[in-house]
Amino acid sequence: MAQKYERIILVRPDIFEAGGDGVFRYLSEKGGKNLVVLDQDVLRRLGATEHSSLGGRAALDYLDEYVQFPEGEGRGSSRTERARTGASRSANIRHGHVDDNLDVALIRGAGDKDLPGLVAKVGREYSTSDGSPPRVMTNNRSERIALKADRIAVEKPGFLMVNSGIVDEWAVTGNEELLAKLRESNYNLPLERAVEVLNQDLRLNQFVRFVSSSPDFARVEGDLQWDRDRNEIRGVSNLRLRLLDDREKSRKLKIGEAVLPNLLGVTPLDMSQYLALQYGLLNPDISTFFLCGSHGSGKTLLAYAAAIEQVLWYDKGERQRRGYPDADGKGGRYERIVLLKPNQTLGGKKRDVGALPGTLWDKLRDHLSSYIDAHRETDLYTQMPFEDLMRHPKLPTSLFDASRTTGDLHLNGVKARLSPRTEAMEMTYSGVMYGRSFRNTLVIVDEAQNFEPYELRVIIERLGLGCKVVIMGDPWQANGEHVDREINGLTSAMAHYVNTPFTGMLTLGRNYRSQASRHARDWRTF
Amino acid sequence: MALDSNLQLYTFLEGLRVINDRDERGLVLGYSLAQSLLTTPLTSRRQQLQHDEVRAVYHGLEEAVSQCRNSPSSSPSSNPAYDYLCELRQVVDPLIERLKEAGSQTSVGKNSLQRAVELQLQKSRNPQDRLRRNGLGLMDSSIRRGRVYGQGNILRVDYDLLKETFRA
Repeated sequence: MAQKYERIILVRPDIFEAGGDGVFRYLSEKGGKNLVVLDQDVLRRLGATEHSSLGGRAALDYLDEYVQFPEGEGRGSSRTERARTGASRSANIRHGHVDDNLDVALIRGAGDKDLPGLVAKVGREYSTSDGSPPRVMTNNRSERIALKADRIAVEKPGFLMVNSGIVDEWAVTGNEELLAKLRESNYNLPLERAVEVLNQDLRLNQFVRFVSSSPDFARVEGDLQWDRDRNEIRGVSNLRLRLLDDREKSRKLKIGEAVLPNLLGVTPLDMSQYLALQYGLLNPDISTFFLCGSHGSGKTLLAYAAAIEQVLWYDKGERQRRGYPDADGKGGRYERIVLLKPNQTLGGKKRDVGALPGTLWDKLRDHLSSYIDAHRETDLYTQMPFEDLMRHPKLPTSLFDASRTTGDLHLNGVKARLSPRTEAMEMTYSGVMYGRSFRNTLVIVDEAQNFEPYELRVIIERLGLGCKVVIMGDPWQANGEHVDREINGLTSAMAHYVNTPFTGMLTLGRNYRSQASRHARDWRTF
Repeated sequence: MALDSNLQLYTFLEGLRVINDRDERGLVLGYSLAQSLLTTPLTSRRQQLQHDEVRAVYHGLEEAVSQCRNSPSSSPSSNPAYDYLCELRQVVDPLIERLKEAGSQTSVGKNSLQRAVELQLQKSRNPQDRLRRNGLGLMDSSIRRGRVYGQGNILRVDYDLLKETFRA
């Protein structure tokens, strides 16, 4: 008897581009017998060099490695022929097995030109146990509308969807009882007790916000157990909730023992900016930090100032004050900064700058404009041009004809300089992430809501020892081809990392731009 | 008669923009919704009930906008939003306590917004935080949807948005 399936799903290419091989793994784990149907034209498109995406390549790798196509399947072009040869399906279908829960069928069809026809063909060849028709899985809005108009069952990729409310989970609202208990117990409460009083679970690095005319904050902290080389957190003990002290409420930044009047001339304007700097961007225990907020909230300026601070070279005494692990050595906390933004190029390949006119620097400068603006807000602006961050200390490069000219910097009365060994900052794009790995690097992923989930996963997989990644964005500004506020790299990564001890997250709550700018957020131009 | 298109969730939420801090805005909004739905006496006829509930929400938000627009110099704490939030909490927090102890008191239909918010708050371990998230969620959804134009029933559209908020 022919196999009946729990689910028959015709998967469209955007699902692979967003989620890589995730749909196969999801259905394989889901239980029941599932069939994924792929149009061979779609397969060819995923593999074509000029259109390939990281996720598409991952899907092809999965198929190549895991799908077994038994002998004898798919021979015979007509019913008579199939009856004669004993073949179970038409010649236009290749049927393969992955495991007990998942089969894959490759079907030759009209693909994009006749999706309803393809669905009908699948429906003739295969059947479900409850008689329901095959479904199409796609997140492409126009395709979904067209399919619904043809009365074809459509589904979104639930396994990729994340509630955008996750960006507000960086802090929970506290109550008076908890605040009173914290004050009674010297501003520290064992976490178990705090959870009991608040009646809500809390996790490491999360904040509690107490409502008042100028809000109080508490933070969940613990004693971290590191491995011998201080590369990995192995465990956490003595979990507690700690009420922030007066220095913190006055928003004074501290790096190690050094209390700073400002960070390269930048001062946090409110508590959420302060917390983002102190406990996220400048915190060496946080190797994965999510910084969310709408336009004008200060994300770029804060990330830029914190990143530059941590690649500057200070003298030995200052390194000791800052608590750098190798205080006798040289260099900043990180060797350099790598900046990543999604890049939808004009008329060129996806994620590629090659097609733009002008020099390479001309092409990159537009993508760096928000950082150039941030540079102007810092004390660095009067001491060095932004370009010197990207110039080699001694040699001309493909980006610049001349090497760096900036010498010593003077910041808050302290002498510092850029690395004499390497460029301080590099900009790259996701298309070249394969084959690269980074060490001792601070990676900033900007506009992460416009990365597809699989793309961001590949970026983070490249991070080697000593790296920190800062992932910035606003899910409500997701406007890429295959992303929206429920399916995007930013929230997908947050959901994956939220409960790890090395992760922090914060959403900046205020807009510091003009009234017209704030109002523009609600301006519907679509 | 068609509703004045200025009387809709979107315009009230836009008015709350006077509270610049996102979390504070979420709290004021969440508490305002709870106060409107938990304290307004309602009828039991289904369609009229839905309209009454949405209008009660509008009324509450109108009051919230008006209070939060007060000048900081006239506010005891110099933060009008915080002062209004304190007023709201004086009403809503005891209601939540009663809900937790005695269960739902509503006599209106089981599909009403009032019932939905009661159930949600009853089940919630930290109701204050739940209200904040309700406020943030409604704000984001409404702004994304935008102003409602030319649709037959603004009340219906806003009702659905509110229903979605209390289901989350």
